[in-house]
Amino acid sequence: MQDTVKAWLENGTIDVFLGYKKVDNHPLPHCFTKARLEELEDLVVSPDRYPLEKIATHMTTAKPEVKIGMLARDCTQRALNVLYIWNQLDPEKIQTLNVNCCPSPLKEKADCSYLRPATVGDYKKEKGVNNAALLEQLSEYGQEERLGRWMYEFQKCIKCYGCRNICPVCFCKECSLEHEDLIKTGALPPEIPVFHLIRAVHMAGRCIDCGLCEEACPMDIPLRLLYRKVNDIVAQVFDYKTGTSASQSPFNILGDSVTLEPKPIQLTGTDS
Amino acid sequence: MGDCHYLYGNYMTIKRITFLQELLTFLGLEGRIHLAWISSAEAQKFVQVVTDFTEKVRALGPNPLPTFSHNKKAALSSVLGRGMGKTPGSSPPEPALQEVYP
Amino acid sequence: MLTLSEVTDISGEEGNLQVKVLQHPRFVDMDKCIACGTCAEKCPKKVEDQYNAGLMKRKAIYVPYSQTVPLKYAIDKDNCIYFQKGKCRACEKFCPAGAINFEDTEKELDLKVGSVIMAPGFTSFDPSSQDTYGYAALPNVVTSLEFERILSATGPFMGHLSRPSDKSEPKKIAWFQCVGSRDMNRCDNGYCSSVCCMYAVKQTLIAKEHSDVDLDCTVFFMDMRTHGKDFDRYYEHAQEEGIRFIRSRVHSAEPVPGTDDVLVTYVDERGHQEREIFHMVVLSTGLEIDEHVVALSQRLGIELDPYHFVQSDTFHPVATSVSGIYACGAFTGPKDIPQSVMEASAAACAATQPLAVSRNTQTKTVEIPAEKDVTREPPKIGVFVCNCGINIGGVIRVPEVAEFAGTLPHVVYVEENLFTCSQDTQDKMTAVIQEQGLNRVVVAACTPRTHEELFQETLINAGLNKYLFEMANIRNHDSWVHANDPDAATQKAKDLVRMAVAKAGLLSPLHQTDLPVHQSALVVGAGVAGMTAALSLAQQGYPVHLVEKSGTFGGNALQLHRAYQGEDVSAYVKKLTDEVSAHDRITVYPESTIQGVDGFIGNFTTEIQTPDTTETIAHGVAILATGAREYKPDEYLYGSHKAVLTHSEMDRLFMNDDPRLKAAQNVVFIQCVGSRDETHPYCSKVCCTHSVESALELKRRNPDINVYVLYRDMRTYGKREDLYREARKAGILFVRYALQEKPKISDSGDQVRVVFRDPILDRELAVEADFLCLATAIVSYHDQTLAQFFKVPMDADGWFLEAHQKLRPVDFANDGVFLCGMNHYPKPLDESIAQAQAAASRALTVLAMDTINVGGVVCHIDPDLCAGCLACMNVCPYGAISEDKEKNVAEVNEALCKGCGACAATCPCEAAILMGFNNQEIYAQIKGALAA
Repeated sequence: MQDTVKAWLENGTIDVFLGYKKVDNHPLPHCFTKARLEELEDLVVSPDRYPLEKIATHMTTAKPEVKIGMLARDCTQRALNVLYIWNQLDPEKIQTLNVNCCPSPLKEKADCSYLRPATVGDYKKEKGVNNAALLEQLSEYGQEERLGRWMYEFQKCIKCYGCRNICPVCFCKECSLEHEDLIKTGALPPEIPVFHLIRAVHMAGRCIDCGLCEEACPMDIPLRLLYRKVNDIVAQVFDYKTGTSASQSPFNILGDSVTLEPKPIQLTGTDS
Repeated sequence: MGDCHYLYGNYMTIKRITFLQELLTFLGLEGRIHLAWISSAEAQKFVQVVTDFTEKVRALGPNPLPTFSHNKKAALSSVLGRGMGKTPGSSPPEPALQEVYP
Repeated sequence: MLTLSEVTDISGEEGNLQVKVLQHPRFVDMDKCIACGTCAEKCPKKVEDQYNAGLMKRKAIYVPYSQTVPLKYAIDKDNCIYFQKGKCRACEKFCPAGAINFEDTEKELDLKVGSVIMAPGFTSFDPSSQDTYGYAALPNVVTSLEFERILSATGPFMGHLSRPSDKSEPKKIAWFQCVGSRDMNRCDNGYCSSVCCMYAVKQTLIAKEHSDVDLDCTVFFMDMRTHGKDFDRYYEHAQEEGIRFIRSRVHSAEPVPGTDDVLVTYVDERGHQEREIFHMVVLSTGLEIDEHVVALSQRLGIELDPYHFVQSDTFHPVATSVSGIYACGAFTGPKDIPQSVMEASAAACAATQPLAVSRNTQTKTVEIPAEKDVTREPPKIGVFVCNCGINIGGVIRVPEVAEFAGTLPHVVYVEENLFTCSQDTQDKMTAVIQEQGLNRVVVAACTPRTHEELFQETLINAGLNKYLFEMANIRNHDSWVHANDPDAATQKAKDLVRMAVAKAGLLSPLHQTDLPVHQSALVVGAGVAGMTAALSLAQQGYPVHLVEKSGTFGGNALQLHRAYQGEDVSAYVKKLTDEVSAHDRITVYPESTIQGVDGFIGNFTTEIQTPDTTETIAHGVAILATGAREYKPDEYLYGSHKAVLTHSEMDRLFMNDDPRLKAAQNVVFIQCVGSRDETHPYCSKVCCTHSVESALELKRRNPDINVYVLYRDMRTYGKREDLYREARKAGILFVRYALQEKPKISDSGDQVRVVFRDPILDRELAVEADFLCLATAIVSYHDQTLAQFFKVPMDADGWFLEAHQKLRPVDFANDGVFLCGMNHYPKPLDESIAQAQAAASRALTVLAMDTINVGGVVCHIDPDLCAGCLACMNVCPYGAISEDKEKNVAEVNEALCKGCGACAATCPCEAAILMGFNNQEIYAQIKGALAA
């Protein structure tokens, strides 16, 4: 691995390499350069994760011509696909050094092996939404209960913006979640469920299910579950599987003809 | 369908609205958004759709979302914990690990 | 616009015509009528409603239907109680606007015009006289027009599928095609009405949609003529949906005693007589010219054909025999909507051509006061609440609403009017805006659809930007729908006013800029369509660049022998080519191709690669007339046996007077070679007529020759049906084959042996043919590069996709680019020429302007917020957004933006702002709505 990166840096394939450097036994995200090749000795594959793609996006915004190499897990690849489609990164300027997803007891079947299954306390089980639940399981709740449980989760929010800050596919210059018209300043919890709905809608066609948001959330809100639902709908309605391809944009599909029909109004019961 | 003043604007609309309907349903806010195609020549249909939808929303009751202008806690209590245990199978079984990340 | 008027006489010459018009009295003052409908509500006299084909009642004072233009009521004198019996005048008593004028009289008008276009339309054939189908006697035998009203949401049954006799829902409906068409026995309409097959298929599918049960639909037809763009796909779709299509001309429809059902007797294809009971029968009635139109034409000296359509020739599809008078629509022959729309534009082009010199000679300019800068002022909102006579005031407590408006933030002036839209109110409003220093105006009245422009003009006259205006519709959305609940209606009016005021406070002035227009055109393709378009524009006074990839002009027409009415094509093409080459406003570029296109409506720059050099030209519009080509098949021994030809090859033999033609004894034509199959699932439209034409030519040259035409459906639509009839009279044999059982061809020395099954005899027959002519498809060049240059779409078959298949058949969604000829869809010469004139006409609407006005309600992308994700560019239906690669942001071209807001809805960064509907304004409106 070190040799490959070294060769890339030396022959100009890339200008910088984003990986993890072992500092006091802690793997920390680090930008390796040709100027300090000796640092490559400390290049490691980290079991901890940071959105290297996001660092690449920031670098590209500042310096569009920079050629970047990076360590890439499956989730990194998906994030890169999304960022290519959204014109934030140029695939020509990105080199990935693919690594296996990190060791985990779930390795066999994991799409992201790192995430340990969430441990859910009794109170949360009773009042909230189980982070480890399956999408179908939530539909077993009645309408009122579903709303109540989600509102329980949302009202815990301390508006730390951790979910957004860690998100590899968030790239706006000004975030809708900071618009005075939508989210009043100085109030906790923030306007719910609007705060979380805005972010959920913004994740449509973008979220690549890396789980970093949920990991970052100090309040343990099941964000990954919410965004999974979002892209589950996108897959059904738009026939678009987020992150799987770097060529097809959800927006090319948006205007394509559809066979959907507006749902009839059902005067009794609910139309789910 | 497709017969939109803005070319394929209504294709985009139906996808967006369907998306929103599904998302709101997931969070327990179903039935409060409706889309229909009504041309300017279809007054009767317009009346029918608006009347039906009004009746439906009336049946659903007032907006269940809390407004935080006065008492946050009181507002929240109106929605938290409602409907608990009324539905059979309201506590889904603890999912097995393999099922979570297939 | 002169309504209730008829032309009585036209005299003079083209360029200087005197038209006598007789205007019948409306008895309603158009300036005063506000179309509130009170008169019709109060009118005691019920009259049969012609618009609903007599299935409903209307009143003696009425508008024919709700989209009527102008939306003004009229009194039907023959049915009005006052006019008939001398008493009533209820409408006058109740009209809040005082618009009723019983003293109104007939007026004679003398108009001076340069040219006249006649578009009198058609009437639907009246089948009352055909007793075999029992239309007059059986209530459940209806015409297609009546059925159309039955299916309509505004029709007699509000769109519920019901049959007239007992209002029950029919479960089994039959359609009879060709009623009053292709019929010389029971009427004199020998022509095909062209549109009935398609509308019948449409009606079956819509009826199925409207039906609660699995509706059984059966269409009895002779030939299924779905020859238009995408029509065959629709027909296929109907078959998949389970619509039954039976090839038979129905013998009779009789009552079933004791029921309201109809017994239908017909003979199936094998010759067996069948009887079947239907709950309802729809007669697909043909198109006819009204007798009044025939009389007028005779008075004006316009030559009509035996069927009373205008006698026009292939090369001048919209001309009549009288110079200065042009015709379009069904008057020149039965046709569908897109063809009518094309002809309408074509007629406009032809009719203005001789008048081009006087363009812009009578233009008047208006003085506009300087616009006041309000950007640094706090909002000062004036609210005008309208009573609309009693329309609003009779339900809503207007003074209460006005008082409420005064309490809203930023409102500094409130006024209540009887009619806010009246001219004196406009003058007063102008004064008030100036005196009070208002910088935003809200009118709570009716709909912006009809009145926004009027009030915006008042703002302009008062020196305010016209976008500092907002309307609250407290009539259509409120007093009309909540007439029975004044309290709630008043409350709703307040809500609507609060919303409008909230938005108005945030409105900012929007500006429009004038971009100069390059008053010249680029025409790509010098076939007949391209040359016609180029010549039309040049004759209208505009320079034209005509680019042709080959060395010769004329395109496919060079290979054609005769047009369907017998005209010599090559002579016409030569004349056209000479005129084009000689015209000093046309620059021709033979053997040249387009290398790149930049710009937008009014301001294109195009790079042309000529044999010697690359030229860059500037032009304001572009017309794509790149044509299509004849398909060369790889079946039926084509290419390997010299007796097997395509149409163009056979025409070549005719033109060269080839001796082999004289010697031939047997000639076989096979239709639909490469059309209506899996690779080309469309009808090539021209081949049936071409085959019939060539077959007749063969017969003319050698009356003893045997000609066989193997076909699937003979699609000699419109007046072309005469040729088909003539061919059968001449002894040409037409034998149908099925796609599953194509004719089999084998080599037989100098001849080919053609084996096919005759469905009537149910036997296989064989012919030793001296010539086998394959009626091959017309296929697209699939020129993706050109499509990308001009940002225009192409459908799956490779045809350019117009902005709207019915209503905008020569426009592209991308403004300033137009299409005509066979790159749109296969079509015969007359239709190509009409479409070319139409494209020129549409192009003229741009070229005739010195500048185009852009801006206003368009999108703006804030470069400081834009993250360059280009989602907006991907969703924009108009290609109005491009990437600024330098700054890595998206940019809107205001000349292309139509203000649909798709980008604003898509932008994750809220950088795309739809001017006049920005997020803050919409949030304010929503908050206003919820503030109650």
